[in-house]
Amino acid sequence: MIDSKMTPGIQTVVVVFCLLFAHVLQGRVAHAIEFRGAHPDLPLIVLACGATLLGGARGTAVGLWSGLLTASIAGVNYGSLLASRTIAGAFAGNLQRSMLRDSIIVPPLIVFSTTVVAEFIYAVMAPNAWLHHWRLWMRQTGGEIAYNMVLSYPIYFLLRRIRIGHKVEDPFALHS
Amino acid sequence: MPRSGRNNQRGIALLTALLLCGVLNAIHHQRQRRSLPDPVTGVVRDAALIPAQTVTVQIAQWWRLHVGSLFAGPQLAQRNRILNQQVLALSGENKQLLEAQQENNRLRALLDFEQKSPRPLLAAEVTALKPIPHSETLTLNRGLSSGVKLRTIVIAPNGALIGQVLDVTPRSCTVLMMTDIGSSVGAQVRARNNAKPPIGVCQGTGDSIHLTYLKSEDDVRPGDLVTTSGLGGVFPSDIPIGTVVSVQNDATRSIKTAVVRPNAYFDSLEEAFLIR
Repeated sequence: MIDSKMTPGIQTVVVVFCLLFAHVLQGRVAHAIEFRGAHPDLPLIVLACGATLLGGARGTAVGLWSGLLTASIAGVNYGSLLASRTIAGAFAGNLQRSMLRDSIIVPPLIVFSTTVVAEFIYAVMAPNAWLHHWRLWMRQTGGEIAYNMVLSYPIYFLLRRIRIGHKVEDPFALHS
Repeated sequence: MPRSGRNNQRGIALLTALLLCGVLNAIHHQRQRRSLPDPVTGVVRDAALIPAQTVTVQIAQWWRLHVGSLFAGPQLAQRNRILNQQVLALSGENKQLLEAQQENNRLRALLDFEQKSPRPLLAAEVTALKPIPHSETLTLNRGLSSGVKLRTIVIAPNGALIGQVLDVTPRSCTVLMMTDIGSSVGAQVRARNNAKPPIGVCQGTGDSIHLTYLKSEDDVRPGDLVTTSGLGGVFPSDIPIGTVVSVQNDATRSIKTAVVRPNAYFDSLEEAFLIR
């Protein structure tokens, strides 16, 4: 897996599989580490970190894939989940341009902003999910954001470790 | 690639993705309106998610059986002793119940009453529990191919109500749990002294269940058993939901609300039964 010649295409495929694994883990582990009704959104953390490292259009593509997985498993608010994750992926992908990738504050910052964007779009598109229980929703979302920020470090550095976002060296421009 | 070209590429990618979202959403809602499974959801769930989830369930079971059990020797021996005693007690009870059932059948036949058959159950494994935030759902590894339909009722191994099927694909289904804020079911409190049972509506609140619309004169106390009332025609009657924890009067004192602790252990569900 640790291959210095991993092309952007292979990196995208790796993130796609990481997202699938994150969805599986979410259904097996997340409820067990629930704290006062709040639990982390592992697929959203992987999406935020993966899309930022991949950048631009690839971020949007993995966002669409993540949205498809989340919406398929949810059974409720299909379109809202699909669109919110796609836009969150595009947002995180565009963050790449304005981020110093190896700064210590980058993982929580990108996960915080991506979670806020995803939850905001979901809340706007599916008001039935929170309108009558906004206190509970706020509490759960606040907990989720905090949880996601804490878990952003291991996930971000794991993705960096498997060289997601690594640029293939091509000093003589043979492949461009 | 120049910066403007990259920006164009990003914009086109986002527009294409959003267009695709719209098309997928339209297909999903069109199929749902006709009570048909969505083919895209079916493929994503049954070809990608369910196999991966099933593998993790099997790994967890293997771990518990082969590794976890190594560290639980004395506890297992004690549990085995208790279970043996329970088996003996239940065998005796079962024998008595069988005799009572036979007698009941014979008397019903004599009186020309219709024979009541037990509800056929379908066992299923929980492959994902609460897979997305803000939604109390679970995924089971049974779907259309096993005869599962929309709104099929799901109960826990202890017989308590879990919820109903919200979405179904050929090999899996999503269940909306009773604790979800979108859940509601007609309920009644087990009556005392042959009185008329108090009737209300059980609604999920995200982390517990509230029994609402109880009349102010209804005799409901902590510890009372709450079951489905069968009103509304979706849920059969007499399925246990939970136990009353506390009762609160409405500000106008015209209705009461009871907080109900669910009888199903929603946080540690491994198996469930679908009522066919």
